Amino acid sequence: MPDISTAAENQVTLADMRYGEKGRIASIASQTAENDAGLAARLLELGIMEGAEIEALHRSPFGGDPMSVKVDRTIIALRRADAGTIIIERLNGN
Amino acid sequence: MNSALRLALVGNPNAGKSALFNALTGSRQKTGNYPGTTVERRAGRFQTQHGLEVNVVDLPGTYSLSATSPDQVVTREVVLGQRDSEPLPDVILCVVDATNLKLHLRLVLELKQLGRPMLIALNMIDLATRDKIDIDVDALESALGIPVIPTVAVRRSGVKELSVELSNHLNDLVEEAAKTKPLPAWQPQDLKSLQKEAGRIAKVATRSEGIEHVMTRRLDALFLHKIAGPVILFAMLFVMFQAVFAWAETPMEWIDMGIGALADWLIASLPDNALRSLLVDGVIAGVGSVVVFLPQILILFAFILALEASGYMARGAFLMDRIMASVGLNGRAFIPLLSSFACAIPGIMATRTIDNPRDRLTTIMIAPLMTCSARIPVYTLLIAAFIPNRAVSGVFNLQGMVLFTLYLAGIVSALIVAGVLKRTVTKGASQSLLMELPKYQLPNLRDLVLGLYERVKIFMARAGKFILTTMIVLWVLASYPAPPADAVLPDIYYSYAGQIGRVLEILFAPIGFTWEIAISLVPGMAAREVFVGALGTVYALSGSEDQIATSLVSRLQNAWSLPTALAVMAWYVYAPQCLATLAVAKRETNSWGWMFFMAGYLTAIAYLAAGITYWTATAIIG
Repeated sequence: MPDISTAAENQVTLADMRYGEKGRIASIASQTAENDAGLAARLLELGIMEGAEIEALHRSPFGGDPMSVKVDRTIIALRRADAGTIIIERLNGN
Repeated sequence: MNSALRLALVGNPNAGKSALFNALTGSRQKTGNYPGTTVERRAGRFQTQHGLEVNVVDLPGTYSLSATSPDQVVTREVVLGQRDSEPLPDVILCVVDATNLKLHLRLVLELKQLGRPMLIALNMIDLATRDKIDIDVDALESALGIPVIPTVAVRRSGVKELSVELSNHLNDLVEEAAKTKPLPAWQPQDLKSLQKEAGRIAKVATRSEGIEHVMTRRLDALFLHKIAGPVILFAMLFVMFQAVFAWAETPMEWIDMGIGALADWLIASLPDNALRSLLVDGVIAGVGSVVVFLPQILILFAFILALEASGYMARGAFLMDRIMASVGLNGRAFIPLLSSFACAIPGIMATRTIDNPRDRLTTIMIAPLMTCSARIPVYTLLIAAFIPNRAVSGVFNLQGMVLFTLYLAGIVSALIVAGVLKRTVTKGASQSLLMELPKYQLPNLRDLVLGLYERVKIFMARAGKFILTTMIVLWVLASYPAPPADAVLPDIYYSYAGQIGRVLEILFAPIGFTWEIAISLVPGMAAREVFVGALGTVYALSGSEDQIATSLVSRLQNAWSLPTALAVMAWYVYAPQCLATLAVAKRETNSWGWMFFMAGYLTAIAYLAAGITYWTATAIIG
């Protein structure tokens, strides 16, 4: 899993992005203790892969989990635990 | 050499594939299952402008050929010609959403590697235009090396064009298909590089990126809103169940009158003998009391189909995920569970979208707790007979509220059972939520009507075969042997059915069930709604001719106490007696053990719940 603390200033995990924030996927941790092994493959099926542009959208009214994001033109719902494995490079202002 | 061309529709979920299929084939379609699976097979036929007969099969939607869920495996096997029951399609028609080219083109590239004759339907081109997306069809064609036909599946005009284009291409493709060599061994492909390639082609073929789907953004801001979102979801479900009652009332009265007129006509025109009794008391009373609920089932299915087609259903899953997670499931279970309100069978079959076997098993186990439409006849009858039809706080209808409570009892029980199961027998990490939220669309009337038509056919076939047969068997059991000459009790009391009922009564008496109820539960095994038909038969037979004319409602009011009626309602919240549900549970879990577990736990809860209701109500009413 990538070490977030040493990552560049403008890198965050998808789980930390607020509504309307945009970025580019820098890397995806293949597997963590909370996530099932097939997660990376399932993300890829929906077009979530390195280099894709992503925008954070809504959060569930119940505890903010899951959240919805937009990758290209696809809107995807995912849980925060999974969003936490996706490292985003913020795009500033554009 | 071949009489008809075999065309397979392939595409991502939400590409509008089924709408295209409906538009091409109209009502000339058949649904069934792929042999050895519970994956639904939709097939149909149409004729092109050049008079070529085409057999179309609408394959389950998939993002990739390497996907692993059972229905997506079927898609892969069919396009590879690996399913014995399904000949290799001559031509693949890949349906692509023009507003989401990049993601959808990846599947095209994956299919292209198979080297089979192929066409692309660039669907929803009207929506793309509205979003100011400008696609260069010629550039797309030459980049892919595959003919591309722009389509608007929801409109007739768009489909006519497709039919003409198909016609033009298919003749060439037939020859190509005949020449194509057997498929090379298939290997999963690297989705990342295909995705990049798809992105490159999408870029080449797109003159203008357009703007985003504004309607979807605005509606999501409302439907996924912190406060408005859950309120709207709850209100929508409430309206749905109120509508099932209010809107269906008049057509149900018509059907009831029609059935009554038919019975009167038979009584008037036939001599008083066993055959007339069989027709009037067995067939018409039994089947009629089930068919009368058709309007309610139609309304419920119309709501579910419309919610699904509009894209709202996935938002419901999004909102419900947290609640589902608290009992160890994910929001995806919401869709099979909501379908189970119509019928547990499609609901249990819809669990195939859940990849995790333990989550899937848990969902299958609780699906029968969702109040299926077959229970509506039971509830409607008892509510009409025992709950006063009056307004509460000026707005709500008491009958509607009781119905809502019964539904709620099923939902709450399902969550509790799921929570218990996930902590015991289906223990283990659950799969998290990951799903596409499709763009919002106005449901297409033709697709709704075709979907409803399909459901009505299934319902009527059930009423026709299953229910008719059990009604005749029940009539025989209830009519023979004839009562002794000095009989004081109703005739049925002395019959075989009466004898069985009296034995069962020993078991059911503690929870307030009479022998008539006990008898009716037996044929109710065939399908839950048969209980009503059986009650109709039991009570019709236990009185004189003019009493038969009295409606079942007033009959029950005289025969049952309020605690008994409430206990029967509570029983039916859990009622396990539906052989078809148990059969599909056996097939889907591939285990007799799980099937018996389902039947056993439901029966135990049903008995307990009915008992507690009866004892409590008796204590209060006195």
